[in-house]
Amino acid sequence: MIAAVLLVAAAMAAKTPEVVKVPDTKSAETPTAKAALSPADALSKTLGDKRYTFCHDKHYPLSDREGKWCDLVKGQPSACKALQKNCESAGTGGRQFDIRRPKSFDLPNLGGLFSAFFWGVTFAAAATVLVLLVRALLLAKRKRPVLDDIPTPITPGISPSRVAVESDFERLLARAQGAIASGRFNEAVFDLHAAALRSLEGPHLVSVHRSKTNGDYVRELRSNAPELVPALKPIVAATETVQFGGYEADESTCQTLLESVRSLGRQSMARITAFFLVPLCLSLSACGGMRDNWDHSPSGLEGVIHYLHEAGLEVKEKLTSLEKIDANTTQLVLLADAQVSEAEWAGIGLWLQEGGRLILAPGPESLPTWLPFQVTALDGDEVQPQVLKVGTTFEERFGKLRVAVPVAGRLKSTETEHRDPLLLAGAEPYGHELVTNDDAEVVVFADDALFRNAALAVPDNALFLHKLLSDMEGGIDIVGPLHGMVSQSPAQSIGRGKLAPFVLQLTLFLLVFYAAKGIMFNRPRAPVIGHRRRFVEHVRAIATLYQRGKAYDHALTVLGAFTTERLRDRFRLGGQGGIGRLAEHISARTGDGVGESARLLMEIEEPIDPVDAPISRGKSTEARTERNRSLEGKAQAVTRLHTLLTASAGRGAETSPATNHNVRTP
Amino acid sequence: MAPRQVPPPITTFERHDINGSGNQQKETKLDLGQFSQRFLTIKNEIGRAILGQDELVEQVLLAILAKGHVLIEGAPGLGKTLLVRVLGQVLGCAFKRIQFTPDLMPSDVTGGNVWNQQKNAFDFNAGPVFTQLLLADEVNRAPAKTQSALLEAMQEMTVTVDGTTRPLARPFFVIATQNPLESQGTYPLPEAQLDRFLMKLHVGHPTKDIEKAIIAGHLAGFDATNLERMGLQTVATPALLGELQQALSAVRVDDEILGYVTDIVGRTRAHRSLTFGASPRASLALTFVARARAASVGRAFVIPDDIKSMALPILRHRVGLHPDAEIEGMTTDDCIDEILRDTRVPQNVV
Repeated sequence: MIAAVLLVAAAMAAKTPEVVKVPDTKSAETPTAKAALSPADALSKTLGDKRYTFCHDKHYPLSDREGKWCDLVKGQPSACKALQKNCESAGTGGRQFDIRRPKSFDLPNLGGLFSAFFWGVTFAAAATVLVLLVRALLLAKRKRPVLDDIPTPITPGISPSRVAVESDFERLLARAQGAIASGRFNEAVFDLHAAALRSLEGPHLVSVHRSKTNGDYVRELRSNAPELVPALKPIVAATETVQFGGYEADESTCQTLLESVRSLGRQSMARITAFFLVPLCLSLSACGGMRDNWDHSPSGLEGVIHYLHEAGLEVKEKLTSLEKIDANTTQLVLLADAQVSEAEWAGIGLWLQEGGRLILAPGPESLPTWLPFQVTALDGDEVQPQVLKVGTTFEERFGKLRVAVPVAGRLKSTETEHRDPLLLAGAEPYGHELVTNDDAEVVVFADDALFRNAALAVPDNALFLHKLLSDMEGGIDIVGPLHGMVSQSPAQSIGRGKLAPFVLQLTLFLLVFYAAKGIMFNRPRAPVIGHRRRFVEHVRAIATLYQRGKAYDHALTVLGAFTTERLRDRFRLGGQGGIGRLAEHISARTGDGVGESARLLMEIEEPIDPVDAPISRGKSTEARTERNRSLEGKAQAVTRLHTLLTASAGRGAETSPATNHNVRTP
Repeated sequence: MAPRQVPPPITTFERHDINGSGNQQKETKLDLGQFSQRFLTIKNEIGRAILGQDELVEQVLLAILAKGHVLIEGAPGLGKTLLVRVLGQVLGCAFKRIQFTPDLMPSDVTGGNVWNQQKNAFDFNAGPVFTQLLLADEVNRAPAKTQSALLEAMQEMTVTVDGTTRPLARPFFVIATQNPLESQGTYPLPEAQLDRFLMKLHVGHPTKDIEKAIIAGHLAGFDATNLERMGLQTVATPALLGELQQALSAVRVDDEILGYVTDIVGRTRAHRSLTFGASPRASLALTFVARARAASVGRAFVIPDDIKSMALPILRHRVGLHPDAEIEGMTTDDCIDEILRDTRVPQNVV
């Protein structure tokens, strides 16, 4: 079932053709149909949106990397006042925590057979769920019997309400109120008692069962919710007083109980609510404070897309393959962690030849050789907030802007020819714009800081981005770490979720389990006894039965016959000679006379009492005494022969059952 | 039965002279609140000497109040003898102990006639059974002949020697013990005698904390042979016990409760793992002990919880386990538990 659910989830997560992530603006208007705002207005509108909580909550928890923006926004004009206050109060210390960024996963190639298998299982699971849902709906639609439909019992003196057992708390409460109103106070007490127990059954504080007493319920409640015991005890006491004490309840008692039951119901409901709310709250909150989702955080991308969108640019985040780029896309921005395959690089190369512009910020870790750059990422303390300077060649185009970011990368050109950088971080180049030998127009930055929401807190950053991207017509596709996360099949989804080992293990386990259990799988069956009962256990069981049945004579006869046969074997008599030959052999070994030995042998073969005549029934004391004496004589005879048997076997004397203290002769 | 109004009036009983000063009885009133208070006082006083055996102490007291005898089974060293000594001290009853051995004769229990040369007649030497609280230690070590000498005393409260029947002192309780670990050289009690015991109780080992407290008590000077030294009070008298026993007759037992009792006992006769079930004497015992339990908490009526909680000690020795079930490792306790799980409690919820 788990596997089925996972597969269904995976199938639902599988890619639909050409899914793209568009800006989550509140307006449904298309960019072309909407009047573009000026960059300043677009910025104000974007950061004024309450979804960007970091610009509205001065206690917003910042990560270490986000805290690097503080030095750049403090004391500067900004549309993000809350972030400034946050930085002034907490700085880069205090309530910060690390944020995990989305990661990409390598896809395992499970092959066509596995894909077909998973698709089959997915459809089967989906069909099963559908059938179950439909069946449940149909069952729910069936008319359920209600108390009103139950006919009045014919038996005189029995109230209709007592015929059916009601288990719904509200209905029991209503019935109790009705009983109070009509003066049937005893019935009201019983209904209130039932309502109290049902209210506790909801949050699993007690489990109602026909064999449980009120004491059982109170003890059960004491172990699960001791604070509710004082509320239940008076209800239980009153019910028992009425039911078993023969007392009549009155209205005031019923009203008091009604209040107690209502209070108990409220507390139970609170527990049920807490039962569902606590996990929900835990799932919605993170340790250390509440944060909105990643896209709207200072590290997210949504604000930048939103801003550019408001400023009249057609921007979207591209999640699908780059092998085929949309015809109207003229600019492609590759952010850090964007996973680009060789086939996609080939597609990008073709697209660049058609006049596209590639912006690497800073793009994938390994760039193709035709791009003459090397970017090295910086970590931790190496990341320093810096005010960037626009290269002299580009001053006319961009003007004198105060572009400022925490520089998290080092950009190095592999070209021999010196080129004036687009942006400078001190003496080091931060950004380049160039046309490669293959006529590809490429812009590269040392990191992706300009494309993070926090960058909008520095107004000139937003303006720089707008100027950079608005000088070309057409659409802009931003490729981030989510690119390539969309799966083409359930198998791919399982692979991305790193669930392949789990699913394979589960499948293997089910196969092994099925093979081991065969057709009895998932059906109750009697436990298999691992070993045969030992012989001595059989003997003990039979002896116990004989003892219980007081079959002493029968037991002695059986043991005597066994002993006689073993002695015949031991003396190698076979079936010859009858008692006389055997008596001679016994006599020769024991020193007794042959006659005495023959008497012993006859005594142990002679039944003392008929089997179907128990000694305890219809016997006189004399007869019973005589029988007991005969039994003692027979036991002694068996013991003597058994001792001879064990001695002749050379194993020493064995304890005869007849001498055991646990086997008593009557 | 005419219905009464809640809250119930205080139930009153005739009260006798608790000093036992004579046959003249003062007509005094004793309600169930006082009953429960006395019960609690006795229980707490015993609890001063017997640590960690609250349930055992309570059940023994309930058996005494229900005029029954108790068979206690437990390993040596768990305080069985001490419990009876403390009971004798706290209840103010005469106490005697018989150590049952294989050579113990019936006359060692009941006593016998001895020729008195001076009087030229037989004198009766009363045996240890002539007491109020008798501890029959390791009762299964004596042969059946000696065990049966107790039968008359337990059931009829009289002892017959050489044709002369002598009454025993009242109240008279037998608390017998047996060790479950040893079976060699023992004589299991016959079913007829087991049925004479109202309850069969199991004594378990104490918890770690209780055992530490026991050791600490002994280190501090506790001496089991000198109970007066630890200041154990006599908080009851034989007359008061009789009075408390009499007070139980006012505890109400509803028809539904009787139905529950007969359901439980009836099921023991049809259980697949039991060769024989409990007798009607078990039903009576269950009802009487349940009344004592209800009164011990000041309640004037029996509830199903009284029955259910006392079913195990009252029924476990009155049923016979099938050999197959015995071999499978089941016990009579398991069977009774199963019966209790299957029997419907009189209630209106389900």
